[in-house]
Amino acid sequence: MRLKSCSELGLMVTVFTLTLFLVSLFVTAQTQEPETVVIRGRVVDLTCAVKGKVMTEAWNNVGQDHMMADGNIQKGCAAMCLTGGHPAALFSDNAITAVFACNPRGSGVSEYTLAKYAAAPVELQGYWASAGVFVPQKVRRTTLSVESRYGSGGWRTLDCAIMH
Amino acid sequence: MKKIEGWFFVLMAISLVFSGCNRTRGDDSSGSSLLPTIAFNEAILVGNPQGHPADPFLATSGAGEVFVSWTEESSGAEGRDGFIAKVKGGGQQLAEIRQMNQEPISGHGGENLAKFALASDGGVAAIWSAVSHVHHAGTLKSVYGAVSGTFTPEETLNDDQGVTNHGFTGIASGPDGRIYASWLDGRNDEEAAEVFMAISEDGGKSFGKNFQISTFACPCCRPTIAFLDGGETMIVAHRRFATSSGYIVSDNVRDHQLIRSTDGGKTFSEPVLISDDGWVTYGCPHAGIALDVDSQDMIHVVWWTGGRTPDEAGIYYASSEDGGRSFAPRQLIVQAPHDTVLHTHITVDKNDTLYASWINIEENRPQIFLAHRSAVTGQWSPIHRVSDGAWNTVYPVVTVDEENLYVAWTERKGEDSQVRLRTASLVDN
Repeated sequence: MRLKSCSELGLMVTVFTLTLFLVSLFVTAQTQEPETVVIRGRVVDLTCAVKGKVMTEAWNNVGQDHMMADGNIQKGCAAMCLTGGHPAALFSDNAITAVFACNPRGSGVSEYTLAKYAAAPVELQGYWASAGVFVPQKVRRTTLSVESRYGSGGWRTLDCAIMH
Repeated sequence: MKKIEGWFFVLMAISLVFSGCNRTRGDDSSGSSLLPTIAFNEAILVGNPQGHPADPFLATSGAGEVFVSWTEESSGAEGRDGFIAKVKGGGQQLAEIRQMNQEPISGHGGENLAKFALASDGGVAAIWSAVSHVHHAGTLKSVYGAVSGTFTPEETLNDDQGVTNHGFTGIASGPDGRIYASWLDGRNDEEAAEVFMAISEDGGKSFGKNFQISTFACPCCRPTIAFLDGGETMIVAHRRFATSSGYIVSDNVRDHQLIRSTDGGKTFSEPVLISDDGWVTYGCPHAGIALDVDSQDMIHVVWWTGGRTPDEAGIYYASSEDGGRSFAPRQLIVQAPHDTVLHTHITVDKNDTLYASWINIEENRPQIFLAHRSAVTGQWSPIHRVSDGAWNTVYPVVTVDEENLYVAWTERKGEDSQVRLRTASLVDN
């Protein structure tokens, strides 16, 4: 194809550049990293917490020890259930404020699990996958030693790929 | 006229109430300005800066010589090397630097730092956790160094042969010439929630069999040993642990408590709560209590607590005049953040003046602070910042000799670390 004038060449370059720009915008939008945020509260076993709420009409099963259907108290229930692979959630302001997209089993270098933080006040770094569903990537306790807070920051990696 | 008199008495009453409130705070006590201030010398750096020194420990021998230990990165090996030196020239120089270890020391340091005690013959007994790939604090090692020369090869202090946690040590030289070592031990409880002890009858050259002295101890806060009655009574303070069912329980109060032995460690009393702070936490605080005993057998303790509510968080002081059977109500020295666990260390000089050092956060950086308490008036001095604010500073340790107060600490900036030592004349000299 022969170009009739320089203006046609300019037009083609402009169109080509515009197309490239639009394509890159589209690709960026498709692959954009989700915004990382920090949320705070207590790690709870979702099943036990909700069952307790239904049974007693109060959030009685958001601690470590849980009330069973027969009225007995199961000591250390939260850690036990989360270790067993129950879905985990975040409890704050007297409500479930996030359901975690994973409850990693932990292994090797990523040995940290949500079960280790059961019922404890924590901060979680991660991103919202959809309304109410949070993908946890890092966790740390709310209270830290001074060396952790001003050193590594005390963050521990959670690996959602290591599932139960 | 009666109305004016009435207002006068109301104002007087209000004034008295507020002056009473202030007295519990060392930093704004109305009489504190009468106490002499401390003038520190320039700080010196301890160790080889290339080795990123950290985790200093200080002690004074019976002959009045001050020693400082620290660790540096091992060259070509995982873990760290431990060194000890005499502090000379009023704290301005180090002499007779000796390496204590042959095998690498655990790099975790901090609350689990290598410590030493000085035997009556001038020898040095040191203990630390060896490098472990399984546990935060694995096998405990002990070494002995005579007055000069090289240290003996490491011996294993824990006698359980188990692969579990042993660490967070306390070590002290008793008036009877024995060396007492205590630590948190995981042989019966993987969380290392028991306090164990071993005694050296030969000034630290070897240690005897291990025995449990307390259960339900916080598994990451060092125990501290001291002596009363010329050595007849031994006291050990440690942070309590509510249950043996794991460290995440809703009622897990982590206040400090003290146990006593009047038979050389064969038996210990039931624990006495040092202060009913009611602090609950869910992780590992990594902060034991600082304890020392003066010439009148008065026990002094200084510690950080997060309190029951955030506004209670701070550095506190308490004392016992009955050998640790009970403690006077705590006094607030200074408020501190409730969500950051801070460290304290104390020492008592020949005049029973108490020097307390601690970390607090200033301009978003942990810094070392110090105040002293008069044995005569019981008043606290104004608070003095010891570190210069350029680095994050942690784990202060203090000791005294006849003339001087010595303060050492670790400074960190990113991956780098260094140890600083500062000296000041004792206030009552």
